[in-house]
Amino acid sequence: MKMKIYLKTIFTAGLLTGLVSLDACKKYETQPLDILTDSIVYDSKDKNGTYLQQRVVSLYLGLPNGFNRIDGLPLDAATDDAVASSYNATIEDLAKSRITANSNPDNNWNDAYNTIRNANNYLANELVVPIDPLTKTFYKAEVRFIRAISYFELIKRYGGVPLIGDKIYDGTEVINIPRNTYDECVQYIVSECDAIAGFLRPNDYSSNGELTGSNIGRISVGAAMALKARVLLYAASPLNNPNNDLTRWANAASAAKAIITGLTNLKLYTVAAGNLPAFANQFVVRGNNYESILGYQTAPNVNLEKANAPIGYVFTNNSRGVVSPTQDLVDAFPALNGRPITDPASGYDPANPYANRDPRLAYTVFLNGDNWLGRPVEAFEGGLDNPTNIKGATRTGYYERKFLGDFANASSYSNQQRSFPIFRYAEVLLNYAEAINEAGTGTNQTEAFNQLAAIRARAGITKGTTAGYQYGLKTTMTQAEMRTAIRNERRIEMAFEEQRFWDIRRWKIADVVGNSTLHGIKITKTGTTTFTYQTVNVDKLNFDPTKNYLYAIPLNEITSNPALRNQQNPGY
Amino acid sequence: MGLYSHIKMPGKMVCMLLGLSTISYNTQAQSKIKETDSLINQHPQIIKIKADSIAILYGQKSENKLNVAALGYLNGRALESTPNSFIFQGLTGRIAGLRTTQDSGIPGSDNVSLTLRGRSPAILVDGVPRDISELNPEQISSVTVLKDAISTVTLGQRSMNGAILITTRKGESNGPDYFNFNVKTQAGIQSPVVSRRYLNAFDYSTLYNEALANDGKAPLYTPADLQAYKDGSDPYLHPNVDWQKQIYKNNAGYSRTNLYADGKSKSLRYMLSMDYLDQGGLLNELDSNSYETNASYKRYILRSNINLQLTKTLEGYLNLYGRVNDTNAPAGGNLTAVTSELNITPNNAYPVYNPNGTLGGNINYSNNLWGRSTYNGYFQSLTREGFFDFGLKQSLDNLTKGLSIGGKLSFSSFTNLNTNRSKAFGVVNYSVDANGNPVYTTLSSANNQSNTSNVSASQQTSYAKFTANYNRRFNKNGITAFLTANSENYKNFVGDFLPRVLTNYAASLKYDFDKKYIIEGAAAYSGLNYYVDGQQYGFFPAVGLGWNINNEGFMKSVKFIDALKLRGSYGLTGSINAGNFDNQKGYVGGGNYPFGPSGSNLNSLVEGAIPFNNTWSQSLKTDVGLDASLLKNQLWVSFDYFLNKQSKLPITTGYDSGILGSTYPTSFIGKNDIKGIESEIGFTTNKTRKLVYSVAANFSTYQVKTIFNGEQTAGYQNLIRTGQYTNQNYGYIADGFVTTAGQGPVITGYASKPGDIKYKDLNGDNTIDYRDVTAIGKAKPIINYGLSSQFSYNKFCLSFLVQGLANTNEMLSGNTVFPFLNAPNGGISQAFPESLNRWTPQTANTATFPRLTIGGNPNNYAASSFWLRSTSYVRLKNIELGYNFSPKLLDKIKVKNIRLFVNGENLFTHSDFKIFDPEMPFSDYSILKVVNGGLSVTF
Repeated sequence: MKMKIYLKTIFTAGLLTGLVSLDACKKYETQPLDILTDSIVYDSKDKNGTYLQQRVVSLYLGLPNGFNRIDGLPLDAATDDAVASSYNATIEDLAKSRITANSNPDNNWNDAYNTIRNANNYLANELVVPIDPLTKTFYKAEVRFIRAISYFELIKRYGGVPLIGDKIYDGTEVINIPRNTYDECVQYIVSECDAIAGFLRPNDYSSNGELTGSNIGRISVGAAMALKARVLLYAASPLNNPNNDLTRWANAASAAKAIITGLTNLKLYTVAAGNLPAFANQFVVRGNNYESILGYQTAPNVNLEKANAPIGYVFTNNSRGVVSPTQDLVDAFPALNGRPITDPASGYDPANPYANRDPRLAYTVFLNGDNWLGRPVEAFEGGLDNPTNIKGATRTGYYERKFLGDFANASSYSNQQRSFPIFRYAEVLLNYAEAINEAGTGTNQTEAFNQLAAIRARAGITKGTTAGYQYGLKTTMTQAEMRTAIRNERRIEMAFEEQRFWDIRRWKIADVVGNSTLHGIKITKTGTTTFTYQTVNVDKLNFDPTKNYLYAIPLNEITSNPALRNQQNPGY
Repeated sequence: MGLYSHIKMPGKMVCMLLGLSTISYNTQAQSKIKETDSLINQHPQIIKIKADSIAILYGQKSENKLNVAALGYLNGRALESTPNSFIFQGLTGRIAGLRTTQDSGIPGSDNVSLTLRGRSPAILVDGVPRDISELNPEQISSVTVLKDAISTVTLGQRSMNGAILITTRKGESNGPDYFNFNVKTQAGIQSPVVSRRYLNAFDYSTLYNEALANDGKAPLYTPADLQAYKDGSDPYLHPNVDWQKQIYKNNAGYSRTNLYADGKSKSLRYMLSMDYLDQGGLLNELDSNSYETNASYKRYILRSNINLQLTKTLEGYLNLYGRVNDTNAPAGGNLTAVTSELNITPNNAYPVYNPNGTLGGNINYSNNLWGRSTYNGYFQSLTREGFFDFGLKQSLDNLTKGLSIGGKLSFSSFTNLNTNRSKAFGVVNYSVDANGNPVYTTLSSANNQSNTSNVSASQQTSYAKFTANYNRRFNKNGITAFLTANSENYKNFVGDFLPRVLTNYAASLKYDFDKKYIIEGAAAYSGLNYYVDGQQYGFFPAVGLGWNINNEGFMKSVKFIDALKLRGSYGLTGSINAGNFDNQKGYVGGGNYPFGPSGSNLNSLVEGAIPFNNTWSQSLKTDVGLDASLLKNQLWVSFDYFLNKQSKLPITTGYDSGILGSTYPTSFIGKNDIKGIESEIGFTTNKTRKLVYSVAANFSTYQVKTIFNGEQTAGYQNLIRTGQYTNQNYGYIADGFVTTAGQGPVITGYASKPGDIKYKDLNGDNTIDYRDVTAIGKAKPIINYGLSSQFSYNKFCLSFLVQGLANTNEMLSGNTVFPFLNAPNGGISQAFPESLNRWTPQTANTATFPRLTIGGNPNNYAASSFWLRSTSYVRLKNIELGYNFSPKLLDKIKVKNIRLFVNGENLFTHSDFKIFDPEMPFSDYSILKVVNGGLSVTF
C-alpha cells in the first residue's frame, strides 16, 4: 500500500516536472545573430566593400543642407532678405536674436559632433577592408572632408570649439576638454583640406570625367579647396580678424585664386534651358554642371516648389509660399544695365519697378506679373496670390523663387534634379574678389572688378558703353567702393544660399543690418495691367552686438563638460 | 435549493456591501456566511465585504490574523456596478494606495493606467503574470493588491512595482452539488463629462483682428466680414460652424449582456461566463454610408474554469479564456487625429458643404473635418486573445501531513489585426467672383477606396510553474511554507525580438507562535536571459513581522478592542529593464543619399547606440502597519507607512556632452525615495434590523524624492533637481502685465508690448532665460481618496462611491489652450472662451489672459506660474440603486432571484479646473458620464 503511494507520488512529480520543462527545452540563439558588428561591417575579406560604401554614404548625410531647414524656412528668412509668411514662426528666434544657451533653432552642436564621430569611426576601421585602393583613397579623403566641414559649421556658429582629432569616446568617461581657439580650428580645417586635396576626385565634368554619372555629388578636389578658401575668408573677416591682419586676406585670396588658376574645368555655368537663364538653370542641372563644386544631393522632388511657390497655386499644385522676400532684397538688385536703382542712370521707374532689372531678380523672387504655371503671379492686394481673407499669404508682396524649376508655362510640377549649393564657382570668384580687395590697394581692385564683371556678364547684365562703367560698375573703384559692390553682389548672387546670415556677422555689420526695419510692397491694382506700388514696413530685426555675433554654446555642453564651464560665449 | 438555502439570512436584506476593502477582521454579521466562490450564492442580498483569508501569490491564502504584509482587497462584486469596458476602471478610489488615471474616453481606448505607491504594478490573473484588463466583473472573485516587499518578493524581478492579483471564480468547492445560472443584461447612455468650448466665428475673427493689431499688422477681417459672422447672413462665405456639434453627438450607447453559470457535481466544479459588450462612439455618422465610421468597441469574452478531483489527493484544473474584439474608427484608425483637428479648425474656417453640395475648404484649411470623420472610409481593428492554464495539485498528506506539490502550465496568445479601408474625399473652395458668380475651385479630389491591412501585434507567452507547499500546525506553532520554480517565456512575433525568459526560484517560510508572534521570511533568485551572461540573476530577500497585541494577557480587560495588530516588513525587490540586447554594438540602416543625375538612392549604415549592460532596478522597501477592529468588529481601521528606497534606476549621466557624438548609454545608478502613508477606515452595522449600512473611506498619499539622478548643473542652483520631489513644477514666476512697450523683464530678445506677461528676474540680469526658471509653488504630496457607502432597506439597496485627487497641478500649454497658433498650411488654430478675458488697455486690471498675438508667443506662452492650474477634483464616481423582487413571488415562478438596477458613472465632478476634465487635460475625447440600467435573473 505504502509503496503504491510512493510510486504514485513519483509519477505525479515526474508529470509536473515534465510540464515545467516542456517549454524550457526549446532552442533559440542566446544572443541575437542579426547584429551588424564592427567585424561584419569592416570585413577584411569584403572585396566589394558594400558596407564600407554604406558607411561613406552615411557621412554624406552629415553635409549641410540649407533648403528650408529651420522649421520649414531657409536661414535667410532670419536676415534682412526675407521673413516668414506666417507670424511668430520659430525662425524669428534667430531673426530677433532671442536665442539663449538652451533655446536656439539652429543649434547644430550635437549633429556636427555626431558626424565627426561617424567620420572617426570610419577612419579607425576602414583600413582592413580590401577594396580597390583608389576607391578607398577617395572614400577616406571624402570622409575627412566631411569631418572638416562639420567643424566649419560649428565654428561659424559658436567660435572655437573643442577639436577631438581622431578620438572616439566610449560614453563612460567624463569628457573634459576645453574649447580650442577659433584660429586653431581654422588651422585644423585648413590642414585637413590641404592633406586631402591630392586624394580626391579631380573636377572633371566632361562626358567621361570623374564627376559624371554615379559620381555626381561626390566630394572633389575643388570642394576641399573651396572649403579652405571660405574658411580662410571667414578667418580674415573683421569678426575674426579684429586687427585686420592683411596676411590673412592675402592667404584667403591665394586660396581662392588657387581654384581659379588650378582647376580650369570649373567655370561659371552658361547653359540656359527653356525659360531658365544659365543663372537659374544651374540649380536644377546635375549633369556636366561645371559651376557646382559640391551640392547636398536629394532625390529629384518638387518639395521646394510646393513649399515656396505662391500660395495661389495651392489648389492644383499645393504651393504654400512660406517665404516672403523683402523689398530690401529686391531693391538690392540693380537695373538691367547694372546700375543701382538709386542711380538716376539706372533708368529705374518706381511706377514700373520690375522692368529692366537684373535678370537674376526674377529668378530669385516671384514678382507680381511673372508667369508661373501658365498664369501671371497676382501678388497685388486681393490677387490670387495675395488674397485678403487667407492666412499665411505673403507679407511682403513677394515669394521666394530661387532654385525652382522651369514652370513658367507648365501646368504642374515635375521632379527637379536640384541640390543645395554648398560650394559653387561664383562663390569662389566672390571670395577671391573680396579677399584680394581687402588685401591691398592698386591692382587688387582691378582683380576684384574682373570677378564681379564675370559674374554680372553671366547674369545677363548688359556691359554698357558708358565710359568708366562696365556692367554698371565703375571700372576704377576705391577699396571701400569695391567692398560695397562686392557685398551687394554676394547678397544678390547668393541669396537664399545661407551666405548672408553669416556674411553680415563676419563683416560685423549685423549691429546695423540686424536691427533694420524690413519692408514689403503693397501693390494695388488700378486697371487691367496697371498697378501702384507703396512700400510698407513689415517687420523689425533685432540684434544685440554685445553677444549675438556668436551663438551661445548649448547649456547642456556647459554643464556636462567641466572644461567648458567658464567658456560660454560673451553675453550668454 | 442546495447551498442556496443556507445563505439566506432570516428577516433581513443586506445589500451589496461594497468597497470595504481593508484586510481586517471579519464582522460578526458575515462570519455566519460560509466562504463561497460562487457569484450566485452571494447573489443577490449579501455580499461579503471581506474574507477571513485572501488570495496571495502562488495559490496561497493569507489568513488575516496571521498576515504581516500590506495588502489591499476588493470583493469582485464591487466591480459590478461600474458600467465600463475594462476591469480596472472599477478599482478607482476603492483601494488605498492605488491610483487610476483615465486619459481618453474613446471606446476601446478608455482603459485606466494604474499607479501603486508611485509605480505601475504587475498584473497577475490566477497567479500568472498577464497584461490584461479585458475581464468582465462577473468572473472575478476577488482582487488583491500586494503593496510591500514581503507580499511580492517571491516574484523576483517583478516584485518592485507591487502587484495586483485577480482571482477568478471556480465554483463552490465544499457542500452539496448545485447548479446556478444567471442572465444579466444592461444598457446605458454615455455622454462627455466635459467638452472643450470654442469661440464662435464673430468672436474668433474679432479677436483675430485684435491680435493682428497688437503686433501692428493690418486686420484680416473687414467690418462687413465681422457683421456677416455675427448675423450669420452669409453661411457659405462667412460660415460659423460649430465643429464640435458637427462631428460629435451628445451621447452614445453602452450595453453589456452576461451569461453566467457555476456549479458542482461530484468531483467536478466549474464556472462558465460569456460576456458581450457594445460601446458606441460619440461621432456623428453619414446616413448615406453603408458602413460605420463612428468609433465603437464590440467585445466577446468567454471564460471557463473547470476543477476536477482526479483522485482523492490529485486535483486537476483547466482555465480557459478567449476574447475577440472589434474596434471601429474613421480611416487611419487614430480617432484622436480626427478629433484633435477641432483645435486647429476655427468656426469660420469653411462651410461644411458648399452651395453645390461639395465639401467646403480653402487654402488654409483644406482637410474638411466632416469629410475627415465621415467621407474618409473606416478602419477596423480585430483583437484576438486566448489563454489557458492547466495544472495539477497533488496532496502528499500521506508522506507528511500538510505537504502538497503542484504544477501549472499556461499559454497565452495575442494578435491584433488592422484593416484600413480609406478613400480620399474631395474638397472644393467656394468663392464669388467680381460679378457675383460662384467660383468652385477643387482643392482635392475624391478617390476610390483603397484597402490595406496589417498585423500590428502578435505575441505568445508561456508560463510554467512548479510549487511545493507545506502548511501545518503543531499545537501553538504554525508553519506555512512553499517553494517554487517558475519561468515565463515571452515571444513577440512583430519585430525581431528573441524570446524573453524570466526565471524565478523562490521560497517562503512563515512561523507563528500561538498566533501572537509571527515571522515570515521569503526570498527569490530571479534572472532574465536578456542580460549579460553571469549578471542575469539577482537575489531578493524580505522579512515580515507581526504582533497580535490583543492576544496578550494585558489586553484582555480592554473590551472594546476586538483585534489589534502591529506588523512590519522589510525587503529588497526588483524590476526588469529588459531592453533588447543593448549590450551588443551594431550598425543600423540610416537615411538614403543619392548620387548621379537621376538621384538613385544609396543606402547608408550608421553606428548604433553605444552598448551598455541592462540590469534590474531595485527597491528596498519598508512598511509598518497597524490594523485594529473595534466595537464588536463593527469598526475597523488600518494604517500603513512606507518608505521605498529605489536604486539602480536607469538614468543618463549628466556628463552627457554632445562631443561624444552619440546617445549616452543608460546607467543604472539612479536613486529616489518614495515615502507615503495609507489609511482605511470602515464601519458596518451588525445588528439585525431593517436598515443595514456600511461606510468605508480610504486615504493615501505619497511623494517621490529624487536622491540621485546624475545631473550636472554647473553651479546653476535653479537647475538642481536632486533632492526635489518629482511632482514639482518648474517655470518662470509671472509678475503681472507689461504696461509700457519695452518694459521688462521679459524673455531675452523679446520686444514687449503692453499686455505681455512680465516675469520675476531671479538672477538680476534684467532678462529672462533658463537662469530664471525655478520651482513654482510647493510640491505637495498627491492625495488620493475614496469614500464608499451602501444602504439596504427592505428590498432596496443603494451604494455610492465618491473619489478624488488633491494637490495635482497641470501646466497649461499647446493648441488646446493658446489661441491663434500656427497650424499646417498657413492656417491658424482655434481660440477659446478664456481668451475673451484677454488683456486690453481697458481690461488691464481684470485681464486673466495676456494680450493676443498670432502664432506661438515666445514670451507669453512660456511655462510659468501664470499657466499653472490646480487639477484637484472630487467626483461622484459611481452610484447604484437596486431592487430585489420578493422571494415569495420568485418561488412561484421557480426563479431564484430577479434584480433590477440603475447605476451611474462620473455623474458629478467638482473641480476648479473647468476647461477640461481634470483627470485628462488637453484631450479632445472626454471621459464619459454613464447612466445605465439593467436586469439580472438567476435560475
